[in-house]
Amino acid sequence: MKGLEDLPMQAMEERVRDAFGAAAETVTAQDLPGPPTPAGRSRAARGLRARTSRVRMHVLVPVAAAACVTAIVVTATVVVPKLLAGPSAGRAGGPAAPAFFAGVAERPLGHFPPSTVLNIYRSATGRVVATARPPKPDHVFAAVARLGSGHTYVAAAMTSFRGCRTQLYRFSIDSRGRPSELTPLSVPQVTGSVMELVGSADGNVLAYTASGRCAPRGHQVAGVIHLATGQVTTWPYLMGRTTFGSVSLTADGSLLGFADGTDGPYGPEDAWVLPTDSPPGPLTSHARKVLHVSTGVFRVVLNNAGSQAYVETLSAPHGGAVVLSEYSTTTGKRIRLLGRLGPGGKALAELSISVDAADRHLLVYGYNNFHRMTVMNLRTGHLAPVTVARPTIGSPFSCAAW
Amino acid sequence: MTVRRAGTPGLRATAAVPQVPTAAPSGPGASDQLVDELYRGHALRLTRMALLLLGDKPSAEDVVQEAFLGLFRGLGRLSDPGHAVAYLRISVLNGCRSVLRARKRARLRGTATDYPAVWSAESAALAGEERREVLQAVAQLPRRQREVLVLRYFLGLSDSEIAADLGVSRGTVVSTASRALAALARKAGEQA
Repeated sequence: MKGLEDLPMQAMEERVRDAFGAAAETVTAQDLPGPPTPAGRSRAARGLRARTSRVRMHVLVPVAAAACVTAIVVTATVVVPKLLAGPSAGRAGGPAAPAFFAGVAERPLGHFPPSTVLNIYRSATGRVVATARPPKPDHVFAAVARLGSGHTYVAAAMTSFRGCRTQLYRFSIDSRGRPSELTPLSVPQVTGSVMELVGSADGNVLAYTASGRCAPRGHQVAGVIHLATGQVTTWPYLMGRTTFGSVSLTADGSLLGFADGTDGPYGPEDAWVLPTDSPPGPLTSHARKVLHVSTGVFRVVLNNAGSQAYVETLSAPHGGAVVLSEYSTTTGKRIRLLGRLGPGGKALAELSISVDAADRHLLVYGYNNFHRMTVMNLRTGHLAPVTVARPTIGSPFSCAAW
Repeated sequence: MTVRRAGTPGLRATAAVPQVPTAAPSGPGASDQLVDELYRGHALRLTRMALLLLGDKPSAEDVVQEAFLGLFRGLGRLSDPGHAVAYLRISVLNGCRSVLRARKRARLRGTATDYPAVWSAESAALAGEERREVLQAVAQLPRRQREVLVLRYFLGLSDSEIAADLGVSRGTVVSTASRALAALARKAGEQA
């Protein structure tokens, strides 16, 4: 920048313009993600106009506040539970979230060895509507997953606290949220302790991750169970400087998605897919990397078709919020930002997500704050908080499902 | 050294700027359509503006996405849709300030892992060493001076518009811009 000191101000202005223009051109229209899906869009969509005049507002605010409180109380106590309690909740494939979700809860918290129950929560209020105990006294619930698009679930229970074996049980939830008896699945017990469990929307495939004292030394295992044939395939994963987890399935169970990669400051940064008919062997040997997100892949869930993935990551490399973004698994590019899940900081990697069978709603829950759950509408981005009334979800992994 | 007489015309605010619908949205679809139109018309310019303030593309994209999310939430309270662009611009400015504050905190904690700025030596996105030097010098200016330069020389806003956006007087804008340019010239002299 020789001689600039003597340049007239106008020349300096032109240099600034030129530099700005050149730098700005590094962003092109093709780089932009699509329009964001809004949270709270409904208000705008209704075209609400808020303010009239200050004087009128001054008078109207107390009246409106009282009316709102009344409306909220009536809605929360009467209308919403009625809407979500029965079969009408999912009427005609409408946008309503599933009426209930199941969660593994520890009680009393911190008791050793842990005593667990399976709670059925009402999605609208977070209240526990039913509780199921483990089938045998020494069994410990470890995970729960929805299986199929109906009201069938699978629970994983360690057969002893040592975690050498895990038995899978099937159960269903009726229209009032009551669980059926837990029936053992006619598949071999899983070796090790199941950490994550997911089911395909067609109800034919289960996938899990397992570890524990009885698993091969230093290994975790990803496994897939084809329920129609009883065929079980496992892929070992040697834990070291890399980590993996966050398994999910496409609707037909043909693809297994997972996060894996060098353990950077935000955990693994890559998402992979593995055809579930792949032969046994090292996990990544037959898998294909589909995404790289430098701000971390805390959780990744494939959509029903497998063409897109919901990724929980940070909005910025440091100090950013925890956000959920939708990515294309074909191009690896971000399609849109769906919404902000948490403030980041210490809570950044402590959220888990579970997508409903219709691929429309996401249940978000935190490892350290189980009482606060959030339901996100994946189409509109609308976030609805749910305060879970009673016990806590006992693990950071697949402990809640709907 | 050659002084370029013109910037990149297509990026100047004096170039065609998409018109903002002036009618209030009516009906559920109208506000969606309005925001979609605003996104199509302004997201690129706003992302570029955020890039100039933040230095990296991912952060810039996120700030703009957040601004549009905020617009969805606040659209019902926006009495004049014609103000939506100004609303977005101010949201982006505020978002950039938040990111920069967070970066500063992270640096103090020693946990900073910034993306390389487009004008840094690590980035190959920007051609021209002189441009890099100018942008690096701009990045070292105080926040308000950077904002005034970007709003004036990238977006091409008038001093009155900048004053309205930043919540300062027009005179403050003029003097801030003048001090910023002088600082850049001084910096250039030191480097010579």
